[in-house]
Amino acid sequence: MGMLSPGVIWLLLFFLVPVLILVKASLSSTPRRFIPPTFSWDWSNYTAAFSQYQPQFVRSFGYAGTATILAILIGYPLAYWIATQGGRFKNLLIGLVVVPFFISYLIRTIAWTSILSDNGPFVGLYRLLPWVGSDGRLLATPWAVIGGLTYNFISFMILPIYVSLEKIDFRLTEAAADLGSTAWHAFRKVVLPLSMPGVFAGSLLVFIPAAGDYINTYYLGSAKTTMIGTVVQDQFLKQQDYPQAAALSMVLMVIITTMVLIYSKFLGTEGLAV
Amino acid sequence: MANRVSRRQFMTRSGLALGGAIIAPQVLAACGGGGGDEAATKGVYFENWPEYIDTASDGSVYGPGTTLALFTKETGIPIKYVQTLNDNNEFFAKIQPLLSAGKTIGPNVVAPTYWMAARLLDLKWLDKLPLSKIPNAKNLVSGLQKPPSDPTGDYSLPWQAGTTGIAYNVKATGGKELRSIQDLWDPALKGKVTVVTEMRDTIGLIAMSLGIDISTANTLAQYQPAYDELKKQVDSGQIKQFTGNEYVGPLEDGSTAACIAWSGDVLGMKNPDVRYVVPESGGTLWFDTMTIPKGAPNVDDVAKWMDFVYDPVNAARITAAVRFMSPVQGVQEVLRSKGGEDAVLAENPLLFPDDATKARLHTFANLSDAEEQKMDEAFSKISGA
Amino acid sequence: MSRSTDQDPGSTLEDPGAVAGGPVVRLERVTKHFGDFVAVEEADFDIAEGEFFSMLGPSGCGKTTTLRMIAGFEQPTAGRILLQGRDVSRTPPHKRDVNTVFQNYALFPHMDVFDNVAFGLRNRKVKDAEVRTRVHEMLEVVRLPEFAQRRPNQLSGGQQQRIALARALVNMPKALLLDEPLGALDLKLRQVMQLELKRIQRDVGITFIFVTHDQEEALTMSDRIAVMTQGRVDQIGTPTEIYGHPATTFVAGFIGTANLLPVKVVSQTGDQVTVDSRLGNQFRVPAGGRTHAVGSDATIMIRPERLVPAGAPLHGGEAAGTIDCTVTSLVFQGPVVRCQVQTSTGADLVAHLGPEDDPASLAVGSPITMTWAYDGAYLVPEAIDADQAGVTSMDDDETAAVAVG
Repeated sequence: MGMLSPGVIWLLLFFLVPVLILVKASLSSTPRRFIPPTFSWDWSNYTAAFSQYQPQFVRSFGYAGTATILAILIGYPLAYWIATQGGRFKNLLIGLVVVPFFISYLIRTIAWTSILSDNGPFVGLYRLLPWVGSDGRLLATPWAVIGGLTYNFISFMILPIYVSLEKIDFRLTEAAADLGSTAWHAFRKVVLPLSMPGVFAGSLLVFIPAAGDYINTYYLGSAKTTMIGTVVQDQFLKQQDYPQAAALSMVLMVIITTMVLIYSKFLGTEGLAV
Repeated sequence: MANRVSRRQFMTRSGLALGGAIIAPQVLAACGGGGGDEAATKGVYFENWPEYIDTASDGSVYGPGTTLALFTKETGIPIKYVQTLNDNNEFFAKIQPLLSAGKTIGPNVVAPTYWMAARLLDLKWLDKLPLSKIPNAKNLVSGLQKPPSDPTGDYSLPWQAGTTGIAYNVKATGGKELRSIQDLWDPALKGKVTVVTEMRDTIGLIAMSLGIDISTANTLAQYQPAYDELKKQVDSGQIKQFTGNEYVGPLEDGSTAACIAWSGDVLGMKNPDVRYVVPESGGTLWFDTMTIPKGAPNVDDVAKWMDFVYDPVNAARITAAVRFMSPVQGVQEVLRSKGGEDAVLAENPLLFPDDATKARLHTFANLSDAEEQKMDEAFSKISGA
Repeated sequence: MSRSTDQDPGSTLEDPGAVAGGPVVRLERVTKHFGDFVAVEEADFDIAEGEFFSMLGPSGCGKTTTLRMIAGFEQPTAGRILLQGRDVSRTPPHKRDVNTVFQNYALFPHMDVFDNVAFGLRNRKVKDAEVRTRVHEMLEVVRLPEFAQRRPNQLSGGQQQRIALARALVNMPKALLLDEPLGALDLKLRQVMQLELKRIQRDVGITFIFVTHDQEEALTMSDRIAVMTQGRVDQIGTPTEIYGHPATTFVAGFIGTANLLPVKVVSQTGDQVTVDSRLGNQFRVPAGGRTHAVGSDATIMIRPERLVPAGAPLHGGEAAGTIDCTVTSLVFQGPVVRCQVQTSTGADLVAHLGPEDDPASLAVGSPITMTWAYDGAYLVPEAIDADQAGVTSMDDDETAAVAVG
């Protein structure tokens, strides 16, 4: 008990208390706008969360899921390359992965608005693609939002994958080759399964913040790409409807937790801890 | 001055950045301390927006020759000036727990935008200005006297003002000059139009284009045609995005052809292709106020301060520095008489619109809590939130 | 310098490594460079079918690189590697019919023992039923049949070792390559596993190519040993040959403990060489089947168990020389007394004295004359400097006893 108490206090202070405040707020109501809400077992905030904001929920999870997959597809090869080919430049290369993230999140996202601008260099190239018309655009589309989310959170994918790859004894791939595996087969049967804890951790670190994000859709999206974070932000700051915002946050939290549990069940991280 | 961040720019950016951090306003306010005691004995304590007053060459607001320094020199009253007001809603969230509990906040002058001042007034969180001790209040321009946000004119004096109209990049419109809101809905501009996230500005301009008098209409039902029009243009893809000040970059590079814009931002742009117009059907006039929060001390000192900045000479100094429309009569003449760069400013139509333009400027009607809430929510629905 | 058994007189002795059939592995002047560094220089030898062949040497001698070239993890810079007569120098590891037991075992941590052992069979698309039979057979061979469902991290070091062995052997490779497989085990377990490896090799009849830096291990287990240093193979031969007839002073010193003294060849008559001891007298030494040029510098090697005080019984004939010394230390070690003496030129020599040598009569500081039987010394055709003279290892090692046995 004595040993546990700092951890318990930490959990109480920074997890349980905020969640309870959130729960309480979500079940409150206010007779009039701008008057602090009072606790009243008001479940209407939850019914509203489900009835009114479905599209935003769907988009949040759709965009965050796509961004997570893209982050794996881009981040894994990069982490693999650094871990296996980086040599004495490993730390430098990993540093370079992190460096852009010393710049404010907001500034980085705003920078993408000019990169993806209709008059920008990317759109010019994009319009050359055969299925894209001359009025094709990137900014203010779902893909720009997904791209922004991927970019903004990809280092959270690369770092854990890199760490898990770093821990792998690459003599194991020699062992696999020795036992008749081609390089690809050795990767699939040995390296990939052993790096799954990193992929798992990275997916959570990308998916969870991406699902709650509203900055990317604000700058890179349009009124048709708004996410649940947009609604929460609007309810909190503009409408000053704290109960509604709290209820939306609770729903978001519960859905994410459920998805994470299902995901960890599928990926079965137990036994992978080497 | 070219690179300075306008007061609105600052507002939108930091509002978004800080927005995420505000979860429990009560907690935040609790951290702000009991308040009140700092200015309790004597003097003025003014909480204002960033970069909203003249500074000395070293950037200090208290430096020699600044309005603040001159005020203290002339009256012997100390003044504390903070630039922490970044966002109306954030400011509201900060003061709400204190004022609703009958406590005082630290500053004895604050600068909410007119509609926020109206909300504070409606909540009875403002004290009356001692107008009898502010003789210069007579210099208030006629257009801002007794505005809907303060029908008796007893609770607020405007600090600085600006207009909302249409900005366009004449290269991106194919040489076409825009004159009305209807011009924004030209199919040739599809997907190259943005509107602002401020409900009163976007809805106000569209409503005027549909013949609605925004200085009197005060229910969602009356504004419904404007909402329908906005929704139609968003759904069709005519409107690309809802923006804060970020419309500036795309407007300059032409990827946004036309947008609803704030005069202050356009004043800061260098591109000669970017033009600003108050639509024929009317533009909105907004202003930030000086108000006294309920229970604030040293009201007489505050009165001296307000009187001081309503002297055209002092007001002109502030206008030359911040480049917003001054609510004080006579500033244009003072600037003209100074010559040089100031005289050029005196002729800028964005700072000193002609009478015809002035006639087209309107301030949004006062909204009841319930109607404001309905209109905010309806607006958010269309903008996707 | 001789690099081949063929030139070595020892190969005419009874040689368990000399089995029938062509070589399983043949290295033809195999050289490996890493940049400027020469890791292996012109390795050139055959390994016969069913042979337990060791590559022995200190770290950095090139033994592991040679093994990795046979496995296919490295490609030779020059020369060829043949596996059952087929040139595999450029064949990737997964296409070579050899398997490796790695120094750290390299068991797949995310698979259970069964899947580890079945890995190679499944790669070759062996049917499930057969995989099951063969894996279980092999787990029987390594005596861990009940461990199929365990994960590697639930096994002890010795058990992991056996599984690594099973994982390689289950494929019935042409040759099994073992890279210091016992290095991570403690002494007791290492000795048990040495015997186990021998037994398993007998049971499966596969060629074992074994890399070690532990000369005791090599002497205990091998049919033949290649002693390597600085990328070169100094000598290849049976443990007996290597111990008794080292081709170089390095081999002499690396295998067991050796007393080395610089000498000059005075004359050779048949198989008997007379050398000048540089201590004022002459020794008679067997020529070891070589012709030693008169006047050339050479080195005489006497093992500690053959060096005795004058007057003690000599095993194998009359004394072939004497060295006047002073006793510098006497250490009782159970079966033997380790007696250290110093020559007049300051070289330290070590003798292991049995009870018949009457060590009790000796005292530190007293003069002593050491001698040895004629066949107890060996003439290495290589000069050493005076400061290298003396015993090669001041350590008290138990290996000599093993070697004699």
